[in-house]
Amino acid sequence: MPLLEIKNLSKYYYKRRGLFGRRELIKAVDNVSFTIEKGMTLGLVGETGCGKTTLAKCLLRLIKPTSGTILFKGKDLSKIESGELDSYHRAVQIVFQNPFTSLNPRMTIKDIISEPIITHKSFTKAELETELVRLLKVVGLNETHLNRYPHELSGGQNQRVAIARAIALNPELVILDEPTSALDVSVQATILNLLNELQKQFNLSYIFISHDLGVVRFISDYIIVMYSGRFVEMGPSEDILGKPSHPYTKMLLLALPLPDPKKKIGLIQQQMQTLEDWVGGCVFLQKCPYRGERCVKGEPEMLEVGEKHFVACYYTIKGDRT
Amino acid sequence: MSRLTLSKETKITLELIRRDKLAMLSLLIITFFVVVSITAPFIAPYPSQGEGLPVPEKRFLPPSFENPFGTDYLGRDVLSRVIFGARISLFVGIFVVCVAIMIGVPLGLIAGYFGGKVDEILMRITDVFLSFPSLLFAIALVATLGPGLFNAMISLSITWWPWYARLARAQAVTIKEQPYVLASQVIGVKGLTIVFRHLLPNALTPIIVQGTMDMSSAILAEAGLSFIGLGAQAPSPEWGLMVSTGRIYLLNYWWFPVFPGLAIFLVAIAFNLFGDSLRDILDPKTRKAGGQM
Amino acid sequence: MVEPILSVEELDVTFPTFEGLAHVLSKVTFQIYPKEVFALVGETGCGKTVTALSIIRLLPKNSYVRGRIIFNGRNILELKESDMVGVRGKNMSMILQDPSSSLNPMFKIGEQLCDAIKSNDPDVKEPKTYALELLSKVGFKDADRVFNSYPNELSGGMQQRVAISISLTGRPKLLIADEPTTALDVLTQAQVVQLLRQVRDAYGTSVLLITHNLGLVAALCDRVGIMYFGQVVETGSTYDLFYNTKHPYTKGLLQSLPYNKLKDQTLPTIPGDLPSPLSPPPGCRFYPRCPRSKEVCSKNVPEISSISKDHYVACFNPLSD
Repeated sequence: MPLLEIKNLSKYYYKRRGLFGRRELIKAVDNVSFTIEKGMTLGLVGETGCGKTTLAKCLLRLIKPTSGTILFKGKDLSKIESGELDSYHRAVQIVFQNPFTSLNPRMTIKDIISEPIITHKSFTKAELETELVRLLKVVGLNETHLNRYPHELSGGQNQRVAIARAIALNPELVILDEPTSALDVSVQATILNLLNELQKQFNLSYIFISHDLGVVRFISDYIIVMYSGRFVEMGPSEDILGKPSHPYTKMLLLALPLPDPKKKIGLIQQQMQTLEDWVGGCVFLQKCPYRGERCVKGEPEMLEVGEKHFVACYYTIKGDRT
Repeated sequence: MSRLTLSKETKITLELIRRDKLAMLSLLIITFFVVVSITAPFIAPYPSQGEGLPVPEKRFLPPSFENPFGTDYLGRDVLSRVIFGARISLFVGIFVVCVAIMIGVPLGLIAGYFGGKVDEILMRITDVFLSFPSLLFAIALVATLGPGLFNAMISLSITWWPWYARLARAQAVTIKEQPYVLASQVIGVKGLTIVFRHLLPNALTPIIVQGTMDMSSAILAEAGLSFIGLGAQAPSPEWGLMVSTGRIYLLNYWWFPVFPGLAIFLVAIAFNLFGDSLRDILDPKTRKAGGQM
Repeated sequence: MVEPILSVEELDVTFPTFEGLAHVLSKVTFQIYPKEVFALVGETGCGKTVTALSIIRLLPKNSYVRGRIIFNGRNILELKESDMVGVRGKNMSMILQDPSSSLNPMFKIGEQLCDAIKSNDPDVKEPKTYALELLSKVGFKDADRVFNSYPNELSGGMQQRVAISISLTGRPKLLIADEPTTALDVLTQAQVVQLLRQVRDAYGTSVLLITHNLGLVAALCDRVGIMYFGQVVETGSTYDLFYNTKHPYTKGLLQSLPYNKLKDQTLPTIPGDLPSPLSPPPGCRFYPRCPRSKEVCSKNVPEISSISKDHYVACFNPLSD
C-alpha cells in the first residue's frame, strides 16, 4: 500500500481584482494525482507561483483542499477523527527554505527542538535532555548548540536544527520546501548528504520541492514537473532529464546553467503573443512555442510515454518528440 | 522553559542603550525618580508633612535652607510633598500601562491570530472604545465611579487597553505568516499555545516602546484628572493636585505650583525620550546603523 | 598587451564592530579587462559584496581601507567624494540583487529613465527617444508600454532589465552586477544572462558579476576570480578554472556540486566551518580546512603565482595536472 495517495486534488480560491473589479478564480492546484511509496524521494519541480507551496500546505493540512482526496496509508484524510489527526501530524513534517525565518528567533535551539516532543509525548526532564542530545548528534550538531539562539548559528547549522525538529517524532514523510536554496554550495552538499543518510537510517519518504532541476535530479527517485497548478510531466529522474517530453520541461533543462563551460545556456524563443480571451485549453498555451489548434480545445490528459513516465501535451502525443 | 541566557541580540541592545547619551540621561532621570519614590520616607526632610500634616505657622514661606522648595498654603514643606508625590505618579504610570497591556495584548493577539468571528467581535469592541477621545471617556467614567485616585487609574486603564489590542493584533497578523509559526502548526501545537509561545515574544518590541512612552502620557493624564478634581483628593501629595491648588497663588507664591509642575515635566519628558531612543535601538533597520562604532 | 579597465591591488578592508575589528578583506588582487564578463565567486562571508562596494566606494564611513583600485588610469580610492560622484553612474554603474529597491515605486519607468539620462548623459538631445531605444535594446518589444508603467506593474525579470537599462545611460566602462539573478526564476534568469552578454558585445562594457552560482559563471563569464574568506585564491579563464583547477578550495567547491551525480554517491564536502573574521588564522586563511595543507601554510600567507598566462593561484601546494 502506498504511503500517500493523492487523487484529483484541487485548491481554488477567489481573488478580487482591485476594489470593485470582478472576482477572479485562481486555480492554485488543479486536479493533480500522484502516489508516494515508503522510502522514496519525490522531486517536485516548478517556478514561483506554480502551486507547489499550496500543494504542500494541502498535504500538511494547513489548508483545506477544494476537492479531491488524500489517502494516508489508505485512510481518507478528510474523514479523519481529531484523535487520529494527532498521529497524522507526527507522521508528516516539513522543512522550510529559509533557515532563519523557520526557527523562532526568541527561542533557544533547545526549546525549538523540544516543541514537537513536549506537544506529543510526556518525558521527564532527564529523558527530554537525553533525547535532545541524541537528535542533535543525528543531524551532526552537539550539546553546545542547545543554549544558543538561531541568529548565533550559521545557515547550515540552522537548517540542521530544522531537520532535527522535523524528525523528532519519527515521521514517515518529510516535505522539504527548497531546503537548500538559501544555502551556500558547500553547505548544500552537507545537507543533501545528511538527508540521504537519514532516509536510509529511518526509512523516510521525502517530497523535495525545488526550482533547481540539477539538485532535484541528484536526490529524487521520481520527478514531477509542475506549471500553473497542473502537473505537466512526471517520471523517473533519469527519464525526465534524459528524455524530457513536455515543452516546459525542455525549456527548463535548456535554461538551467550547468557548471560546465562547454555547455551554454540555450533559450527556446518563448511565445510572445498572448492569445486573448481563451478559456480552457492547455495551461502552458500562452508560452508554448509548439502550440497548435488542438491545444485550445481542452486540457491534455496525462498519457504514458514510457515506463511510469507521463506527459500532458497534445504535441508530444502526436508523436513528434524532439 | 530554559535558563535565562542572554542572547547576543539582548547584549547588543544593552550596549546600544549604554552608548546613546540621550537614552542614558533619560534613564538616569527615571532611575532617580524611582529611587526617590522608594526611599521617600527616609529622604524627605519632613515626611509627615509630605503625607499631609499641616503646619499653620509656616504658611507660604519662600524657598530657604530649611524648606528648599518653600512651603504651601498649609505650611507643608513642598520638597517633601513633591518627593511623596513621586510615589503616586510612578505607581499610576506603571499600573495604568501594565493593566492596559495585560488586557489589550492577549486580546489583540488572539484576534489577529484566529481571525474570523473572534477577530470581528473583538475589533468592534475596540473600535467603540477608540472612537471616544480617551480623556473625555476617562472623565465620564470617573464622574460615574466617583472621584478618587484609584478610580482615576481604573478609568484610564479601561480607556487605554484598546490601543494595545490594536497594536498587538497588527503584530499577530504579520507574525502568523512566518514559517516558524507554520512549522508549529504542522507539529500540531494548539492555537492558544502558539499565540503565547510564538506570537507574544516576537510582538513585544513595539509594545515595549509604546508602553514606555505611554508611561509619560499616563502620568500626564492622571495629573490632568487630578488637576480638574477628579483624581487624587486632598491631602494627597499628587503633583497635579498641587498644581491645581497652587494655581491661584502663582503670582505671589510661585514655588508652590511650579515645583510639582517641574517634576511632572521632567518625568514625562524622561519617559518620552527614553521610549523614543528605545524605538530606534530596537527597530532592526535603524539598529544596524547604530551598531557602527 | 591590453591594459585592464579595472585593477584591484592588495585591497584590505577592516570593519570595527561591537566585538572587535573584523578583517573582512585581505590583500584582494585581480584585474578586469575591457569587453569581458568577469565573475567574482564565493560563498557567504567571502567578501565579494564588500569588494564590489569598495570599488564603487559605498562602504560604511568608519571602514578602514588600504590598497589601490585603479580604474580608468586613476586610483579611485584616493578620489574625493565629490569627484567620485562623477564616476558613479557614468563610467561605473551597479545593479543589485533586488531590482525593486533601485526603482522608485512612485514614479513611472519612463520618468526614472529620463532622469538618469539627463544626469548621466546630458548631451542627449531627446531623452525620451533615447529612453525608448534603451528599453528596446534590453529586450522589451513593447517599449512604449513599459515606459508608461510603474515598477510594481512589472515582473521581477522585467524590473531587472529596466535596472540594467538605467545603468547603461552613462555608457559605463564597467557594470557591477551584484547577484542580479538570485531572486529570479530559471527561465527569467537565462534571459538576463543573455542580456548581459549582449551588453558586453554591443556597448563594450565590462561586467563584474558577483555570484555564488557556478552554473551561471560557466554559462556567462569569460574570466573568474574565486574568493574565500576575504582573499582571492584563484583567477583565470572560465575554462581553466573548471578544467584545470589549481586551488584546493575551488576544487572542493566544484566537487560538492550535485549535478551529474547519483544518489548513492556521498557528495564530497569541505570539512569545518568558516572562522570568524575577528580572528582569522595566521598564514593561509584556508589552511584549517584544506586537505592539502603543509606546515608552511599555517605560518605564511601564500603569494599569488602564475600557473600559465592569465591563470593565477595563491597556494603553497596547488593541484597538479
